[in-house]
Amino acid sequence: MSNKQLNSLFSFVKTILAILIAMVVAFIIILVVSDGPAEALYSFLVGPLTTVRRFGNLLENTIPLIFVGLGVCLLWSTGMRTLSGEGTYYFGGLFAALITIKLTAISGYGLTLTATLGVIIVCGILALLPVVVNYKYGTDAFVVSLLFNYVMFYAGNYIFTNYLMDINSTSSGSYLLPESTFLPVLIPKTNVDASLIVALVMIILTWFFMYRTKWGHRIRLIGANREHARYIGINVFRMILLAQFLGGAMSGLGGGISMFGYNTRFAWFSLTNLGWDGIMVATLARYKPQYILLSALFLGYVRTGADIMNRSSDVPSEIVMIIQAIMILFIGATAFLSGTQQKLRVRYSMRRKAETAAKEG
Amino acid sequence: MSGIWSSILTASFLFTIIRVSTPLIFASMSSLVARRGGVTNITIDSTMLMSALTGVLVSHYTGNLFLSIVAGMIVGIIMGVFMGYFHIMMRTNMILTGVAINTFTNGATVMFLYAFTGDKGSSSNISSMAIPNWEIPLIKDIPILGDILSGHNALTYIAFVMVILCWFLMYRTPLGLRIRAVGENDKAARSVGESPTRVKLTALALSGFFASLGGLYMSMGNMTVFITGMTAGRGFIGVAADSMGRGNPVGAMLASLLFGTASAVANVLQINSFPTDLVMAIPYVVSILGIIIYSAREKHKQQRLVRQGIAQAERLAAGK
Repeated sequence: MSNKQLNSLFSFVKTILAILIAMVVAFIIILVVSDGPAEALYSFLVGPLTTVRRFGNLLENTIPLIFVGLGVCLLWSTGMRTLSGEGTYYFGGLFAALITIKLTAISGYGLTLTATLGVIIVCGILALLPVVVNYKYGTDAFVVSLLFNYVMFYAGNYIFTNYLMDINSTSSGSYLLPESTFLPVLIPKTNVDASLIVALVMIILTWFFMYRTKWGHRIRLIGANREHARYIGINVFRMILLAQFLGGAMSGLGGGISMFGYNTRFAWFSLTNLGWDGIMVATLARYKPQYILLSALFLGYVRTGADIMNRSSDVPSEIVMIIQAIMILFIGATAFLSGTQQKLRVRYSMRRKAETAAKEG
Repeated sequence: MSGIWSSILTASFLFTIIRVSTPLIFASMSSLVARRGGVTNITIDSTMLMSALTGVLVSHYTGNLFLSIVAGMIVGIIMGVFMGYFHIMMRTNMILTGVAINTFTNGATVMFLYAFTGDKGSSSNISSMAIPNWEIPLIKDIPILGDILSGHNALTYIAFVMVILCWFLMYRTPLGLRIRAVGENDKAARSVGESPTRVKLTALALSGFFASLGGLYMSMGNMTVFITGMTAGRGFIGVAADSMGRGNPVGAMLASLLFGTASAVANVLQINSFPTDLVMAIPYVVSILGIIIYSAREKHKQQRLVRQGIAQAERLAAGK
């Protein structure tokens, strides 16, 4: 077994172990907290698959996670750790609502397309600020992006309350989004619409961009070793800007696309927390776009299960946050299992050495 | 406009500034100790939340104020060490550790609150004890100054004492020197026999301690109830204030007061039907600008030093 194979095997084993540890802790909590642990466990583990509506919920939960997960894959690909996904997801939703409600000159899918393009451009640009000031002034991009998210939220909330709020409606929220822009529903009786297909296409596109284009290769090189990339003549700043633009646009698209049918009104009164969720999805997928579907589905499943358990038993759905936290801690822990990994690595190389020695001898 | 000015230029407004700045001062000290030790602590908000809940629950079940404060502090220190364990010993990325701990806290506080009070939103079902307000003798009798400075919560005064203590700790004790040395360059510190792991863990424990006081102020001083998510990003503002204060306790305190002023002004403008969202954004914009200006100046200073160094080297070379 080569070192590369050994590493990916260990990544896999570590992820599975982290999930197992988290699940065991969850079971223990359920056993302690619940009066009817068996039903609670059943609805948590099998619940999402029992009815079409619940399966629909699972997919509905998964779609935004795919977008934000891909967003973090891109945002973090150059080694810049920014949180722009949170602000851009919110702003993407807001901006899509703003365009579709206020732009009355066009309607139908032309309007959908216009709004999508607008969201991509605006959110891509918004994600650039933290890295631009980082490059120019050496500020901490992470802290600036964190603070800038709040600026985006309050600016967005200003637009929402002043231009979009429907005062006459009983349900607090924006004016009704125009139905002509809504994407077709894929599974009847659920809210699963064509945004699922868009999400899947985005996974393929992101993978293709990162692994099959020269920009993707450059970006990954910068992520692996920035000084080396600079040394061989890559314009590091331009590539970082590209990655941030695409990451912000991806998160923004996630927020925006939820306004084309999944939501009938814009009604976000705070940041959505999906940016932080994106970090989890991306970590679970080890920052590889091709694994995003799996990790988003997994998180979506756990969350849907927890929601169902919350409704059908006495275990609060917040248990899912504890599960997520434990998973992320163990998957991210570099030192977790590193001793065993090193031992195996040494053993394999010793064996290989012995084999080559035997061949030569 | 005159209405706004008349409500800003009052003693009670200045009193409010000090009141709303208190948790920010604790949070900024918390961030400062960790950052000087080389860790950006983004779990301050969660630590505050955990301590706030612990304080309320312990005070309800024991009826002992001292015990509940100590319990809150211990939980804060545990949170700091927990972050340290995963970030430093298990070498988990700082942001990931933060995300995980924040997620954990958001879930755990609700679960505990639900388990003990049967409510997911607030602890209003159970009664909590309050940390007393202090009237300062002599000062309280001075006409305007007394209205501003006297009658605050005990923790408010402790916050300002903590700033001095924090300064003393960082600049006048061996531990402070160790923390700063490890934060500057942990390899250099290791080479002279320091254990960066131990120093960083200590710094994070201290960070948790400061944050816990901020949390206790939120749930037992400013209010006497725990509300889910009541810290509302104050821990992050603490990080911002600390970046703005350049890692100096007094600077961080002044930055916290600036943030406090901004949100107090926002509150006043809100009453005067000003666009509140834009006002609420002011502290964040101010903080981003503050960080940029500071970093730009630092970068400029460094460049100047480099230029001076080069010029000096050239002079020396020419001299030979």
